[in-house]
Amino acid sequence: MSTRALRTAASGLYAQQLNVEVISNNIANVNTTGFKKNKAEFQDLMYQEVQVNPTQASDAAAQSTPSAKIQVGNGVQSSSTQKIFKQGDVVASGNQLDMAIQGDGLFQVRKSDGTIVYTRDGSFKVNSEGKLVTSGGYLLEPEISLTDNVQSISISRDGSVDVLENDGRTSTLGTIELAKFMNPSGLVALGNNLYAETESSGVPILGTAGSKGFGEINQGFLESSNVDIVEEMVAMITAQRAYEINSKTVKTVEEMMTMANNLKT
Amino acid sequence: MMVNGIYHIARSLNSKIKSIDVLANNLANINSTGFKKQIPFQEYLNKNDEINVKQTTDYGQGEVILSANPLDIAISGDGYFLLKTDNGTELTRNGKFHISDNGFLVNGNGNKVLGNNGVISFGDLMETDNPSITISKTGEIKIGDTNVDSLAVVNLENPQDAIRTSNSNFVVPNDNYTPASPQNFEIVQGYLEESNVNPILEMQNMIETNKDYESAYKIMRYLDQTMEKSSQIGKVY
Repeated sequence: MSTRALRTAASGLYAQQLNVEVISNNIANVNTTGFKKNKAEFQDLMYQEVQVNPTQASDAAAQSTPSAKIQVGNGVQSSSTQKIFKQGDVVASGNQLDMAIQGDGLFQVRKSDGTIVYTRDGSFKVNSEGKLVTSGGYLLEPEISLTDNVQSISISRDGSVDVLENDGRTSTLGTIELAKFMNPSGLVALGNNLYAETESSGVPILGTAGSKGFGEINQGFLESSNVDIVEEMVAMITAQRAYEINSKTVKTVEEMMTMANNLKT
Repeated sequence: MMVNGIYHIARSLNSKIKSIDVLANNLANINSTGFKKQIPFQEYLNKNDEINVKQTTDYGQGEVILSANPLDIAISGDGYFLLKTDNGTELTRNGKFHISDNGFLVNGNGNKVLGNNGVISFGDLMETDNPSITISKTGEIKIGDTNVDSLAVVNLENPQDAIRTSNSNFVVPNDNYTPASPQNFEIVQGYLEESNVNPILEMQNMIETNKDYESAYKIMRYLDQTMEKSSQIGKVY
């Protein structure tokens, strides 16, 4: 007996399991600053031409006609998981080194090996040398160095960093530049909220915040994860039900196989 | 003897198994973008009393769902995107596209998407100041203010001739398709067309097929028993 339906249903079960894995990763990162949710995508597998065999030998003529063939599919496979760069909520944090980008663009960060990577997580800290770094200790690019006698920092919407020193003088330390990509979903996620450019994302386009389609920088705010719990729960219910319905296929085919085995008493 | 009856029943059992294969495939693809469900085949007699089978695809519109990705494109209404593959062209409703490493607009399998002027390439335009991609309702692709091309949208001449390949794509024999008229479709950017499989209808179909199979199975067992009885007529004990 053909086990195609069983294999098809198994591919469906496997696809839905992967779907739940992606959804559970989204839900686990519901409070991760600057997190962008993933979505699993599926596509159907190759089709096969199957002959609908007339059982009687006298139907040999009908057997050879092309119209006696039908196409039967072989199931489903996952095609990709994709990052969705939708804006997350911007939440006040009260910390003067926290920045959120409202709109397009990513912060540039220099890794210890010198390569530039990108992030939406604007929870910056000051390291022992007075430089602005990410929570992971990577330097913000272009570098911003603070001196000992800084009293307060103000970051304007276009990214220029001004400080008020202890003696009452103000000075500008530099400007935070943003990077933008033509195809942000082509970026590869490195973990730790970092992304690296690929050939399919295109080269980074650098620019000032608030100009030419770049988003604005908001000091004292953080961009929360763009995972919407309700949306994920709905996706999870859908995935679970789709899993269930594929298991029903398995059960149905199993029943039919049992019957086939019992044809001869 | 009633051998003829047993053949008919065997045929019925056989075809029900193939129907289940089709239904299983529909259900497995309940989340596949742009998937069009298959209706289990039917047998019919043509005018010369020959047995033919017919298989149909339900080309109904799937739900169009927001994905917020600028390169996710759905067609609302009639029409198909054209893809260039190694074996010619393929048609699809799956508008899940991205930009390939060398700047072409491609689908998930790396097949290039065709525009009215051939393959769509972004090339150097990816390095402009304003690289946002906008796609109009008629399918014109713009990067910033620069026009790139228009998506080719075509219609099937004979939908029943379309052959399925993977990734919700169809191959049409002899490239028998025509450009779709713009008033019959609308391109929506940032949306994807979901599978048009309805789980309830598929379950109903599956239960029906299962029960039909069971009936055929029972009839076959009765026939078997009857033949057993008839073979005992006149037996000397």
